[in-house]
Amino acid sequence: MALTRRELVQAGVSMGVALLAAPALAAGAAPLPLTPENALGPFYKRGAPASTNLIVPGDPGLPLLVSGKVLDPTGKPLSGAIVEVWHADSHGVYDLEGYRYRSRLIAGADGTYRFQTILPGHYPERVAQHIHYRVSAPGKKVLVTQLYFATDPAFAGDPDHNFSRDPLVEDRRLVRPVTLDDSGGPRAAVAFDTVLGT
Amino acid sequence: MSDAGTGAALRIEAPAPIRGIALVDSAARISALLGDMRIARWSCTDGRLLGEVTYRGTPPTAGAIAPGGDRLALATGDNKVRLLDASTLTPVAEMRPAASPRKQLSFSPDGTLLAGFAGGRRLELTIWKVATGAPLLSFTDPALEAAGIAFHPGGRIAAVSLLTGDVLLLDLASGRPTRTLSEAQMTSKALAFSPDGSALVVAAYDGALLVWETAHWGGRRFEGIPGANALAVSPDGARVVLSRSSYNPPDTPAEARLLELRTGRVLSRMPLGIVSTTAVAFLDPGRARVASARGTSLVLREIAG
Repeated sequence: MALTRRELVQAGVSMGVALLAAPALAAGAAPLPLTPENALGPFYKRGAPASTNLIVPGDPGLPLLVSGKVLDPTGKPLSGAIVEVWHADSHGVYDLEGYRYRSRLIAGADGTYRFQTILPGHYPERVAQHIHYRVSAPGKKVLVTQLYFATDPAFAGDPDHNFSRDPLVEDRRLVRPVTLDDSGGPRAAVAFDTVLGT
Repeated sequence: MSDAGTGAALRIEAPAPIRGIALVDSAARISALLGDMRIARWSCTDGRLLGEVTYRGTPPTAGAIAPGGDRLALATGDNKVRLLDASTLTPVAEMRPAASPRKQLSFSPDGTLLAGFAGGRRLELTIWKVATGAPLLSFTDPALEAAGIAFHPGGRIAAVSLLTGDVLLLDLASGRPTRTLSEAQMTSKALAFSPDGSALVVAAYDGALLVWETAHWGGRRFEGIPGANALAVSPDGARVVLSRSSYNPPDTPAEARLLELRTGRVLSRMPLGIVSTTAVAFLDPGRARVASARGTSLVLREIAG
């Protein structure tokens, strides 16, 4: 199920915007909490291309920009970290035979990554829209998690209370605010920093 | 190549929605777990109901019917794994020791071993000897997640398919991994050794059918069925039958295929319609039974080639 632009704007307004820049820790500051893990699921596929534009011409779906940083608990960027992402199309269907809506990104020198895609759809086995992540960096424990959207109708405008409507959403922190960028046409954006431990 | 398999479909109407099916006793019978916790058994020859019994114990977290059809393994939320008589549900044995709740149970093809995977994002596997309930192997790796298991007929090796697509080979005597097969790009719930143990066959979700010769673990890749969830190798090791149910999306037509294992050549394919679950088993080297279910309807067909 894709959100209409109006639904997205309304949800974004009601939940505010909280796109947090990756904090740099001062000496003695508490370490950043590790990003919560979440299920890998059966649709992971090795060998995805290193594409930053996953949009398939002609495919329906609200364009979505996903960006973030890969950090260690001190806030140090993990340059060269591998960020594998995959998600369903707007109808909730995963591409099994090919690599639609799949990518293998490399974090930049400042730990950043970004990709263009569409908002994933719902499907019968899952309540919430989501993007899968598998993030790896030398010397760090591989992070397997999922990114959820605060605007998801499944959360009925109140992800604080409703995130567990999808039993696989085990941690509220994985539900991220969504903003609408109207320049050049409607487009959603979400930020998702990941913190890897050892 | 045939597109229709052989013979007419035998249709069975269950008294309640079907949650899971298993072809047992060399595919002479089919057992089904129904939504009201009844376990029913039918003859695959004429569709006659052979018996049914209702489970009334602690809610199960996983279950498996033994290949012979005479035993039912049930895991429950109180961390128990019990072996029951499949006809009466009388307890026969308890696997021990108690551990974390099991979310997936699988018998070895000869019914002598039972594998139990715990839930959660870690590989926690126990394999028990069915005859005694004693553990044969316990293996845990917090960095791995499992999808399925196959037992080597010699009882020496288990192959565990991981969600990353890797297949981990475990030596059952030492309890240690001996090799990781990394040729698959997606995971698999459908994997089996050939009856003579010379090959391991894995149907990956992306549609690849991977065959490894166990003598040297050299691999070959053929075209299978994307999303395959059931697989069996013929008694002579010459053919493989695989099937998929309808999911991703849920209106995907299910199908079964019979292939020549040496070349990957498709010998026969059979559309199954829209179904929620499938099961396959060979009747003889050239003929396999395909079961599919949706709601309360169960359909049995044969595929040959």
